[in-house]
Amino acid sequence: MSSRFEDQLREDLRELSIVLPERANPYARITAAVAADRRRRRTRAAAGTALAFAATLAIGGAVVRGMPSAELSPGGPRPEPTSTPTGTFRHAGDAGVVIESCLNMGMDLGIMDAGLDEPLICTPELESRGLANFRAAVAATTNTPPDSIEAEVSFNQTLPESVLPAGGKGYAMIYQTTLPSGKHIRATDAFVSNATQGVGGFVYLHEVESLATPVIILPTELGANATPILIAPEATTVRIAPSDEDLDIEVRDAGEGVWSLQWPLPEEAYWYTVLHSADVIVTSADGTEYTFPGPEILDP
Amino acid sequence: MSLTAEQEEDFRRFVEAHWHRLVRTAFLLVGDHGRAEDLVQQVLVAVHRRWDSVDPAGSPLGYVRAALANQAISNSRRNHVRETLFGGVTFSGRGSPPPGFDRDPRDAYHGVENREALLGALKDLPPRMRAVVVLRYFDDLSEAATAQALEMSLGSVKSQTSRGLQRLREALTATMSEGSLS
Repeated sequence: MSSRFEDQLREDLRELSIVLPERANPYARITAAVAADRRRRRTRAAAGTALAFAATLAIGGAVVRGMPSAELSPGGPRPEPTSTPTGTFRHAGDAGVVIESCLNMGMDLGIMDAGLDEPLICTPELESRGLANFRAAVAATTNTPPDSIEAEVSFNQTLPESVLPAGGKGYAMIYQTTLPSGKHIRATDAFVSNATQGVGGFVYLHEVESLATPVIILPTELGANATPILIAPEATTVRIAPSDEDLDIEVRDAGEGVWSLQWPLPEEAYWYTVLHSADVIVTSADGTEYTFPGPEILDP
Repeated sequence: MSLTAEQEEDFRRFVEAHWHRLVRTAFLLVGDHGRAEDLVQQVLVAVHRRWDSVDPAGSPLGYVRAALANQAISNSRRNHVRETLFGGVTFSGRGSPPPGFDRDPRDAYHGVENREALLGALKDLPPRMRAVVVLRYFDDLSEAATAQALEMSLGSVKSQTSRGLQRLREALTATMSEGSLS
C-alpha cells in the first residue's frame, strides 16, 4: 500500500507534465530526423570507419574505447557538425616496444623516481622502431603494403614537468601518414611515468581529417594522478565546454604544443570522473575548431 | 534496411499515439520541454532503425519508454553538471508562500502547492534515481518492470526508490522551512 506521500507524488507528477503544449504533427518531425540520420550514416560510411576502436594500455591490459563524434551540445536541434571529429582509436602496435627499448637502454621500469639521471626521452632507436610499428599498424588496418606507406614523425617532445605527476617523466611522439586514398592517419605514442607508481605507456592510432588535428593522450591507470595531455602545436586556444570555471578545470599551456587539463582535486579523484561532464575544444590558428567529447573518449 | 509501407504506417501510428505521453515522461527526466522533445526524437530515430524487429504483439511503448529513460541517463553524463530545470521561478522561501500553501508539519509533502518545488527536488536527484522515480510514479511501472527497463536488479530499484522518496521528502521539507513566515 502506498503512502500519502507517494499518492501525492503521482498526482503532482501528472499535473506537472500535463501542461506541456502538444505538437501538431510529431511524425513529421521524426520523419525529418530519420532522413537526417540516414544522411549522416551514409557520410560516415563513405569516410571510412573501417578502423577498429580499441586502444590497449601497455600495462594492465585494460581497454579504452574511443568513438568519433561531432555533436557539440545537448538540447535543441542537433546542428550539423562544425568541428572536425577526433577520429577513431586503435592500438597502433606494441607499446611494449617502447618499454623493451627502455630496458635495452638500461632503464629501470620498476620505480621511477625524481632522481633518475637518464631523461625519459625518445631516442633515435625508439623513434625508428615506433615509426616501423606505425607503418605496420596502418598497413594491417588499411590492407596496404607496408612498403608503400610513407610516414614521418611530426612531433617528438619530452613532456614538460608541468603536465606530469610530481616527479614523473615522459615523452610524446606523433607519427603520421597520408594514404593514396587521401585518408590521413596519425598515431600518438606516449610514455609517462609516475614517480611512485611505476610506469605506463600507450599508443593510439587516429583516423583524422587533417594532419593538423590535435590528439589527446590519456593517462594510464597506473598514473592515476596524471591528467590528460593534449598535443596541439597549431592550437591558439584550448577550452572546456560548458565551463572550466564550473568544473574547476584548469587548462595549462605547457608550451611547445603541449597542453594539460588539471584541477585541484584530491589525488584519488581521477580525471575521468570530471571529464564525463565536459568537452575539450581546441581552436587552431586557422580558426578550425576540434571537439573532443569527454565522455565518448574517456569512457572505457 | 528501409521499412515496408505497412511498417512505416505502424510507426507513424505509434508516434502519433504516444508522442505526447513520451514527451511528458522525458520532461520529468530532463526538466525542459525543448530538451524533452529532443530526447524523444533521439530515441524514436533509433527505434525507427530497428522498427522492423520490434514485436508488434509485444509492448513497443514499454521498449521505447525504457530506451528513453536509459538515453536520458546517458545524455545527462554529457550535460552540464548543474542542470537547471526551471531557469525562472523556484520557491526559495524568500517572500510570501503561494496562496493556499498548507504547511502541515505532519507530512512534508502534503500541502506543497508549488509544483516548481517538486521539479527542483526532482532535479537534484541523480539521473538514475530520478529515472526510477519517474518510471515508478509517473509511468506507474512496477518494481520488476522498472528493473527490467533500466537493467537494474530488483533490489537496486527498491533502494533507489526508497532513497529517492526520502530525498524528495527532505528537499520539500527544507523548502517548506525556508518558506515559513516568521
